[in-house]
Amino acid sequence: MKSVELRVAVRNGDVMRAQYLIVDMYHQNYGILFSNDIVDLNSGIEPYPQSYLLGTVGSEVVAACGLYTRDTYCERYGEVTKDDLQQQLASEGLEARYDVRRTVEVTKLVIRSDYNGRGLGRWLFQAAHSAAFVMRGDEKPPLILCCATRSIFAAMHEASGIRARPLRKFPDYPVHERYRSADNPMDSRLIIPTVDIPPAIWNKPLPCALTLEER
Amino acid sequence: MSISRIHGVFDGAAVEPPLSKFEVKFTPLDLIAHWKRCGMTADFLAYFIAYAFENPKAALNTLSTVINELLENAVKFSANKREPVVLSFDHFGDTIRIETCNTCSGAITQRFDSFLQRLGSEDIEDLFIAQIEQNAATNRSESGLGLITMVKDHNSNLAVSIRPLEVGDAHEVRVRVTLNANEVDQS
Repeated sequence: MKSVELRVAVRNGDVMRAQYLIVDMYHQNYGILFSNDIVDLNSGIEPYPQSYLLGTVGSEVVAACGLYTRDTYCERYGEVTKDDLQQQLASEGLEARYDVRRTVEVTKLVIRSDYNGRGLGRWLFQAAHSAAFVMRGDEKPPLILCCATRSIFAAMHEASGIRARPLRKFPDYPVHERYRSADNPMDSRLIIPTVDIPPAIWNKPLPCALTLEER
Repeated sequence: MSISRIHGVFDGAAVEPPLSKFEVKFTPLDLIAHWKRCGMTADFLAYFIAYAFENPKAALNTLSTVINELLENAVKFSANKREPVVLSFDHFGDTIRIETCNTCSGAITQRFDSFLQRLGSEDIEDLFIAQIEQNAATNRSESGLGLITMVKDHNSNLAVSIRPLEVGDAHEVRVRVTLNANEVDQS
């Protein structure tokens, strides 16, 4: 039985391993390029997240997921404003508990193709919504933004019991043309951790491990 | 079965050894992961070459443009992003040769082959306009516009060799640009 170990990438080598798996999968599947400083969604060049989860089997990297801890994609490219967030908090009476300036965004979840179909994706997705990953030692939880197609929201968020509140339809950029469509558009959505994430997911410890069944 | 094809004048080994030469290997993933590295590499190598020219500032632009175009294409379209692409430079005195070598999948090679046939047979100005219109209509940037511009604006002699590999559907693609050294020095 193989076991996937999941940890927050802290060392430079782990960050690079996570980035390279993401780059490899995104370029292979969507033709997307990456850069820290010449980001251009019209030319297919995406920005990097600032933090990563890394899934390994022995020394092999099999899964990764990123987290924007500043300049979130939804705010930078999705026209989501602080007012949008404030309105959502007000509707729950949670203005005092959250700071709209503290936003993160879970992004770029990838599973190496030979590990697909073994439950790894949803397990990683749930770990990416844990306090251990998104809070990064802060006292207050951040607001979690997400940008995805509606089919992803159904398959991942809804299936995991995570409520993702629609904020805005994400504008059409050429960089997303291989995965969005008129029938499956992209949205920017908001997750308010303490009310939208089931405690079993929010309190998931990291590092953690998942035993995979043999095929 | 796929056969080898040549587009343009892809002459074999040079008669005389080059006066100056280098060869650099890149892992495509390193450049895809940090796309600015293509431009940085092109600028650095162009500066290295142009430094020996009478008019380095003039040469720099052409050399950097050509290297960047070849490198970006080789990296973007290479079949295995962990297998090195090779960029080589040879200065024969009167001519400069810049070349990339990488492997491409059968589908990519076929598209490139069709594009090269058009480049070799159609009027370059018409093709340039047609590709701009196609880009605007499809929002795609993979149209060969860079190669057209290189030939059109930098008076480059473009030649391509496509050779099927023995295993799988991958092909070895060598893209060679030959420039007149004097023209580069005065560009």
